[in-house]
Amino acid sequence: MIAYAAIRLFRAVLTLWLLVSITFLVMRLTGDPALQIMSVEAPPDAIAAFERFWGLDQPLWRQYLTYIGGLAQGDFGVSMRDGQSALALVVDRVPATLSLTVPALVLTLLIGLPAGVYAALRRNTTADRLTMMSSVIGYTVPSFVLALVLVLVFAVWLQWLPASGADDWRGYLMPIVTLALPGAAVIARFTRSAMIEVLNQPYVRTATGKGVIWRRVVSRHVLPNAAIPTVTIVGFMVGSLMAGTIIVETVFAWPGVGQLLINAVGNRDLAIVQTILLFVGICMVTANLAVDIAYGWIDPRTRRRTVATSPR
Amino acid sequence: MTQPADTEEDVRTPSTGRRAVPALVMIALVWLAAMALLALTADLASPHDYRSLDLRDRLAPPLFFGGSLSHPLGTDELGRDVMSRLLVSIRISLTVAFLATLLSTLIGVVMGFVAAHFRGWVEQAVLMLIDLQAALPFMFLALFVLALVGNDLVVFIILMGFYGWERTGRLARGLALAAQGQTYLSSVREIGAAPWRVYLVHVLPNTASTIVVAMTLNFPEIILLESGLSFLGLGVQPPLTSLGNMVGYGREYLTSAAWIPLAPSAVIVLTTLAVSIVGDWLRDRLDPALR
Amino acid sequence: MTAPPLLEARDLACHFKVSRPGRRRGHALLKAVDGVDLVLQRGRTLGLVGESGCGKSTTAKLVLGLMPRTSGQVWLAGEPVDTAAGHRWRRLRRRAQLVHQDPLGALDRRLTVGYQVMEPLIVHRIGSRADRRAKVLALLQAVGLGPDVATRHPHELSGGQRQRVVLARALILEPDLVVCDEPISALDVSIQAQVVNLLQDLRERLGHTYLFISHDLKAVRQISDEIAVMYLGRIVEQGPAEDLLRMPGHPYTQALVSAVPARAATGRRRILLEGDPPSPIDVPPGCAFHPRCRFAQDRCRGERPTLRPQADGRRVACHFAEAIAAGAGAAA
Repeated sequence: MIAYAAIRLFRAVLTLWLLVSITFLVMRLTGDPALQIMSVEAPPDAIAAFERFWGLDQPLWRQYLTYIGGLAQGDFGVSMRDGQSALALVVDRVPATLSLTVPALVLTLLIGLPAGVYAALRRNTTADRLTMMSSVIGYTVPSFVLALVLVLVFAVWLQWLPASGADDWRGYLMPIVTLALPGAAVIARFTRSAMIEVLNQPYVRTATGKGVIWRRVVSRHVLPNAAIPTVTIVGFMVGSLMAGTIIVETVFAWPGVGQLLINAVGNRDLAIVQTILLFVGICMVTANLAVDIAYGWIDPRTRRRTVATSPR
Repeated sequence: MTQPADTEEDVRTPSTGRRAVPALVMIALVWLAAMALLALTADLASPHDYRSLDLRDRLAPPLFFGGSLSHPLGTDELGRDVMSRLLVSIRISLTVAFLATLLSTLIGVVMGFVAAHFRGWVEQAVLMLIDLQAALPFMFLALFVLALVGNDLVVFIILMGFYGWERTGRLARGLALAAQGQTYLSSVREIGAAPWRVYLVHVLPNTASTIVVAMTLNFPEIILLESGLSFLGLGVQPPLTSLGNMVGYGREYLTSAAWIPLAPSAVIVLTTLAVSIVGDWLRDRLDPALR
Repeated sequence: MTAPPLLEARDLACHFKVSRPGRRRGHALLKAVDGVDLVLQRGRTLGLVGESGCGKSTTAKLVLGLMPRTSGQVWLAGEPVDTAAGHRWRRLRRRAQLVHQDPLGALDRRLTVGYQVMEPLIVHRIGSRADRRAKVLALLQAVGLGPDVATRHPHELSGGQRQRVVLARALILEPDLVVCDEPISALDVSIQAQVVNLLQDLRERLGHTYLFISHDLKAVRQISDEIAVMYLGRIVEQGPAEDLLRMPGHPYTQALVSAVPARAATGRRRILLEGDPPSPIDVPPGCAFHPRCRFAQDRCRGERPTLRPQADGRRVACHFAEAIAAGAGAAA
């Protein structure tokens, strides 16, 4: 188990390093940052001074080391607009975003898991088909359309909920639901197929044949085994939730990281965009690492298999 | 995968014993055909030029909500005909998604085949890239690149063309590795055929059905991504228009002129739904191995 | 004899590292081929026989340079055979062809038979489009197939037809050497004879040199000038086909020969081999055959016999070849 966790950890660190390096390279190779920030007509000595100040006259590998060193100390650069630390600006927005994503993740699971289990236990009935059809609709409807429809119904027509803002708890409802529904649709579908796979296993049929009470078969055998593949998709869920916040925060004028990102992209404020990119990378790699380790812990077979095939 | 023993059956059954196409899939196919037709004939089918303004006739309602036949879907805040804009948007959104899907498949197939052919450190490097791409929600990467290089249509299509390459790449690598174990490929190599011939003339046609199914699963996601970015104002830029772009700019009129954002929204939803239904059906029919 | 032999292999070996199931650490060495020498003169046919898993197919691939060798050297008409896919390797592919065991598997099911027979010409840029087409039709005819077959796909043909297609593809480059790896074992018995007759006929008409690999002694006898018998990666006996089959020298060959249903009741007793062949991972020390040999003695357990020439010109790897031959003679 320790060897397995160590290999996973190593891979996670490697992925992060790759992300940081590619980000650095892409940023340096897509153009002279000095010319991008200053205008092309700037006097040459001003550009030279600028380059010296930012270390751009150094060889690439030294810039790279400086860059990595800076990141390690939490120096993600400064915003071009007001010179504030990019990291501070982003961290400042994190709580607002988390106040949407955490409840949304919970809601995703609360809707998706029971729906998937229900559909699997009632498979090939009308109830199953309806659930699956709603699931397909759930993830083919873009979240901005879903958000607009919710606003139209609950804010414009019924006037129950505010169209935007986070003044009281009612302001949270529509953003959270918008974030949660597509994920719930994916989870429902995935849980259903994982369940059906287990339901078709010989040991389940044996247990049923032996006269074990069906509820017991489901709770003792089917659910735990179906949970194993379902855990893997939660890592994926974290990623799509984070992507979802970009649109949801824009639609509902939510002062979170997503909105900061959109404004930064509009202003081409690279330091902030880069910080958020690396931030998301860290979150994703951590989530995947947690899922991998949880997976190895639930299902010992993965552990051995991975250790056996990894050295290559 | 098929056993050598039953391959003969395998090849013959699809042509003889074809099951009926479900009604839902038929409807989806008809919808997609209509969309494709509209995209191709957008110029002829539009009642007006999609850019022409008519400031005297702004925010006119659609046909059955008090509007007139000259603007069947009403007009927008500048008096432009929503119907005409919608048709042009369908053309642009579908073209972007189509080109991007082709590009993404091309990248994925090339990377997958390269990994399977060279093995060793090349394969490990490709797998690392695949893992990295899979670990990062594409939206963030797209925004990073857009912030870095700015936006124009070509850059945007190329960027969309990276969406989903990692899944196709993983799939293509698996298919190529499986094919490499088969005798027909070793026979071709033993003749002295160059690798490009082995992969283009032999591996690709033999794996095409699975790759096409993967494309149909990628296509609606690219439509969603394109419309999402355009909705945010970071995708297709005015004066061009796309479905997401129309929703984005029309969203301010949700209370006063709901048809402006809702008409393109409906088209997006129905189109992605239709492609998903067809894709799922194709997958179940052609390739049960694909998840 | 001034010209070099068409095919010469010296001390061929191919070892694999395999991980053993059930054990965590440590790799075992699988000696698929372990010190094989072959000499094949132009226009002759050598049959290579042995049980499955004895290293016949590996030998075929080693001889053609299709697999990396652990040791040894191969020459085709005096030219060394590479194993790396370079320019020289590709040129060599024109001169030596491999015919696979499973004809359906060896053909691409998405392409027409005509294209696949033509493909070697395209790959090596030989002839114009019309030349190629004419040549394909001529060759299909030579293997007994009509021109209509060219537009069909492999799954539309019978097993025997497919094997003819595979042969046509192998012969279209007019190779010096054709290696047939179990070319008939995937076919129905009734078709096996046809394909063997076809091979024999083609050999007489076109004068190719064949290395014919099979576990079917009858087929090998019909087509081969000379036979080599393999056991666990080594050649245990080699000699002219008729002599070897009439008077097998090695106890293993005797067992193989006795297992073939005799054409007439010759009163020869069937020699049953005890046990399965040992795994090539645990090759017994000394003579690899000793655990199953009825003549085995202490010397066989300790000392590995070499392939020694006998009085009648064939070569046998057995310490007691002479004594066994004398004994058999006395018994008959």
